[in-house]
Amino acid sequence: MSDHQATERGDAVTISLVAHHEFCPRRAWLEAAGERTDTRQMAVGVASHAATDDPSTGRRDIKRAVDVAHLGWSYTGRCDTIEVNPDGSLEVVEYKATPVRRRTDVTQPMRTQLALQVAALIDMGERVHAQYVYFTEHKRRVEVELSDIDFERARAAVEATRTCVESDTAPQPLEDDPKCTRCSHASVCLPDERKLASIKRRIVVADPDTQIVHLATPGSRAFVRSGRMIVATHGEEAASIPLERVQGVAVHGNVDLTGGLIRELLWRGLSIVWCTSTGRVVGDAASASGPNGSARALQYASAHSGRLDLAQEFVASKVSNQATFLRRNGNAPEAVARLRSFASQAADAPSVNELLGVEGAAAGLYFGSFGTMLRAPDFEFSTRSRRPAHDPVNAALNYAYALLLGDCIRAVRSCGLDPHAGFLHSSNRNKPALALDLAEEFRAPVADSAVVRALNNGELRSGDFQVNLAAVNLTDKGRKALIAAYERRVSTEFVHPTFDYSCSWRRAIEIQARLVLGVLDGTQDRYIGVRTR
Amino acid sequence: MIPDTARRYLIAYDIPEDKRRTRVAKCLQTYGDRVQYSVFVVDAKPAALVRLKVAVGAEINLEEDSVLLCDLGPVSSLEESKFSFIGRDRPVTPNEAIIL
Ligand code: SF4
Repeated sequence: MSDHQATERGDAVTISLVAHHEFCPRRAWLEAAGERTDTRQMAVGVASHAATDDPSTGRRDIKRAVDVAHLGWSYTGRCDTIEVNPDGSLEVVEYKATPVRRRTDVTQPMRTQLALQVAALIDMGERVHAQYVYFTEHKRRVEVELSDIDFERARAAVEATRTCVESDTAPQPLEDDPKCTRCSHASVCLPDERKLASIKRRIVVADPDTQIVHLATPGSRAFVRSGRMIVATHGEEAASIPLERVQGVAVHGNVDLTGGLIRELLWRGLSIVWCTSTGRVVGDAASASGPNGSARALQYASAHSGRLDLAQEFVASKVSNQATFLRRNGNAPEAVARLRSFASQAADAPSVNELLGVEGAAAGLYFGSFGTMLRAPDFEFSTRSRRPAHDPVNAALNYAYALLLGDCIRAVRSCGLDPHAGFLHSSNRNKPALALDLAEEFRAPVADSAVVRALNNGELRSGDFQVNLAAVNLTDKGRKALIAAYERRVSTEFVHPTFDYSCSWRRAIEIQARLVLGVLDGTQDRYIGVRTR
Repeated sequence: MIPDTARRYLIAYDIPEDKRRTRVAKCLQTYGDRVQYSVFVVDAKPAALVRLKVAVGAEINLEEDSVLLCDLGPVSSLEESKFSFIGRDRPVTPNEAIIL
């Protein structure tokens, strides 16, 4: 794992990809597609190559991080350390940090890796005298003898890796394999979720424990200084947050980010979403090294030809969740029953047009009874009015939907899909169609729920809204209260109905985005939306 | 396997040379909050802790300087009462959404 640059398909295979492939072909495929995870294993892999404290090598001529390439076998790679003997011959040392392994055993993948490094050096006209693995935890160097069999095996491994990463479809995940519990890519691979059934073993607790930073004070300015994000309001420093803790930034209304901060966030692979102070998503920024370029090509093709099955699931689970939410919080049993039948109609609607018809009818019914869920006397709800909002409840709903859309954009981007090519929403209306598709099933349980709770608990009061002619908007204070209510909701854990494990709603949004990805790249036969019970 | 959840660390250092001390402080600031002159509180997932150790290790003189890491346990199970100040308190970045 010595070279961490993204490897594009069609480019030469890298030695690190071959090492991934020896572990699991799907891991090589994911790595080649640009999927990165922030797990301990990945960090240790990177760190072990930064280790330079082998005291026994102090006196010799040592070269570090040497790029090598084999023209004949067509691969590239990097050697951690090459020691040059006085006669010009080389000794190759590969550093390994293997905290889980108690003994200093040289494994087959390590032999393959060394064989590829040595073969490349020979191809480049060098003389290699010996090769070693240096175990950093044990501070022990082990000499590895390589035979023709090792070189033949390594060459075959390069070919197998090339075939795998150049294939158009992702390899299927391993089934019930103990390797997955040690795999650095499990949180993006979702090996157990592919079966769309309840999960007995739990591989990773993958909920992010870093935070979304919402910048919602008009006139404030955010910049980066000494590894921290500083937020200043009217020239005074209001907050300073360590950058390692930031998971994403949401900018609300008139707030400035400096170019330096934007660059730093993108460099760290974090996303930024901007929206207006009335809750309209203006745009987003994402790192250039996002994963899964080829999956996007598949996404465009599917969005163009249409995927009724996906669209049906988005609407059916949305309507089903409206029914559940209304049953739990409101008083309209008839509407609930009719929503249930709309949900099953949506599940087998013959076309997207009819699906939109069902969705519209369901929305009319649901919002017709929405008022029965509101307990605070200050607030009334008659009809849903998008923009401008005619009453405080609509203003709050608009804002909560913008927050949800921001989370959906982040989830869609993080698995390398394009927010703009969708299956239910039209892709030619200047809208983030896929993010809107994904938002449907989360509207009632996340956004509506946050609004209803905030109004009923008195977190949002009538003073938190202001009227401008016919339009009602949140005040600065009201906006912050709603963001807090939304954040509390989206970080609440619930039991995922398909997989039976508990996760936060925010993680669920990403899991669902990855299930859409699975359908597009062929690892999965169908999509199942989250339906609350 | 080690669960990928954040733990809280109290990190203190003893570094006689000013330049190295400043650089270590600057590096720790990226990960957590300075609560005393040479004491930081850092909430980190295992991956971030590995990065932190490498980054700090690269700044210090291994013979002369000393950095103490004290694992206070998973962030989710920390009680407020475990953390208190006499006199002025110093803010620690909260473990929930930050709304500014
Ligand atoms: S989680 Fe399992 S199937 Fe997925 S890449 Fe890792 S080892 Fe392969």
